Amino acid sequence: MRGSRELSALIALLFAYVLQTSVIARLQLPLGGPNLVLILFLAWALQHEALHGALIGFTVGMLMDLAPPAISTVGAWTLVLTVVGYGISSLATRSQNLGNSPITDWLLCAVGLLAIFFGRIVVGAAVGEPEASLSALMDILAGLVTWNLLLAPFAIWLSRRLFSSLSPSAEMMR
Amino acid sequence: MNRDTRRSRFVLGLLIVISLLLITFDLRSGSALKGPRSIANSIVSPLQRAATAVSTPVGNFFSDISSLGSAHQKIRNLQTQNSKLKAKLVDRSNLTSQLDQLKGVLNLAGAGQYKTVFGRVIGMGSAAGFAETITVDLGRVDGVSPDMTVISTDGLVGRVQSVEARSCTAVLLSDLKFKIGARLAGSQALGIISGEGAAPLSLEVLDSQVEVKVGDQLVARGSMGGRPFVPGVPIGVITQVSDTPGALTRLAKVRPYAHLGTLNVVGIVVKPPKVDPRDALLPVAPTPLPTPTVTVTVTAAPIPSPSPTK
Repeated sequence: MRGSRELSALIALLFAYVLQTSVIARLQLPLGGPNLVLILFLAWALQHEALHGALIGFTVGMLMDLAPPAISTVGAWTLVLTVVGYGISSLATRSQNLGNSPITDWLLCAVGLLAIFFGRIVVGAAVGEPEASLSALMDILAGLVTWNLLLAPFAIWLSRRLFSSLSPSAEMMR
Repeated sequence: MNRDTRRSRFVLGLLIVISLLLITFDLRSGSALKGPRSIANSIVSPLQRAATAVSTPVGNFFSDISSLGSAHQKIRNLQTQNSKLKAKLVDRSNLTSQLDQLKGVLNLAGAGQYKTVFGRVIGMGSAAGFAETITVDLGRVDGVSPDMTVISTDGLVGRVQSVEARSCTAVLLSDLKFKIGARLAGSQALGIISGEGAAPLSLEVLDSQVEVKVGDQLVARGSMGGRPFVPGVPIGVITQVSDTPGALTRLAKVRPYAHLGTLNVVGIVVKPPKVDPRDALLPVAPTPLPTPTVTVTVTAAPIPSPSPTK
């Protein structure tokens, strides 16, 4: 049961990555368009406890670091997403104890996106990537936040359905 | 619960250490992580190839539909623009010859001096991924190797970063890390162009005395041995000049000739077979004579000569 769940998650991730790089990125949407991989990652992290959040972040980060057309320093995305995955998952578990609501999920997505953005800049600076100008960074931030927050509720709903249909016990565990 | 927390903290620490080690390995030697990279590549790039093949007609269909409403207005705008351009064309026949020469330089790169292979763009990094890069379905088997110039029919596209057997990754001109030495077509002044993401490229002209104006054209200055940039490839045109009195350099915005967003087919300049450096001064291929119209871009002629050096 568990194995099949992880395998299907990996396939979904791969699918999202290919869709992102070969289709979405070429549509030339304003502000750069959404990043399916990051939304999927956040939606997953929201539904798992901290340990799995970190593991999910590590896996997604490795893919973003290694798969074409990535050129960044290997480990940069991995580091950022591992930490963010852990943080978002533990925040989500805590908020679920207080009562789960779509609004908190959505707010956590926003927090996660900001953390990814700033985390990536800090790590980029630490590994010696050339600094981007402020206006370019603002463009990235605007695109990252608007597009991904628009799509986040849908992604959360979709991955919740995917996982609950795969393992009905997951709902009971919660 | 407490034990759970402790365990997940331990795993988090472990994963962070692994990431830091990966970063260290990658920074210390670029080749250490070649293995994992090419494994990821061999899984992902066939999928990208398939996705591109499937989605291209669909994408075209959607872009056609979305432009239906505005088509009428667009035609009218184009007609107005066309007549304006025609008038301009008559006024400045000089400009046309200049353009012809620039085009000639580009064709020259393909036909005479350099061998160019053409391939399809199968993957693209987006601004949201902090990297403006493309995957092209050309690889080592096609003779591609890192630091080769990537061009489109319009001008410079970027530079090859990493190569696998059947695919390669190139950094686009607009990437935040991209820098290239450029030459103003008119004044021959040198400058550095850097990518700015979605915003236009920025140009820094090193000599503040040089007059820089909107409409000036830029070509690649070329690197030693034609790597990573072959000389003479058109880069773009200046759209805006910012004047800061007293500054040591002059800054300008540049619109690239190549349509970086809608790249479909790109060419990679594969170097001709290596020639003994002793023969560096002998022209291997006949240098094309400059056309009789003596415009400022006539210095396009010396450009081909470095090409046969290696």
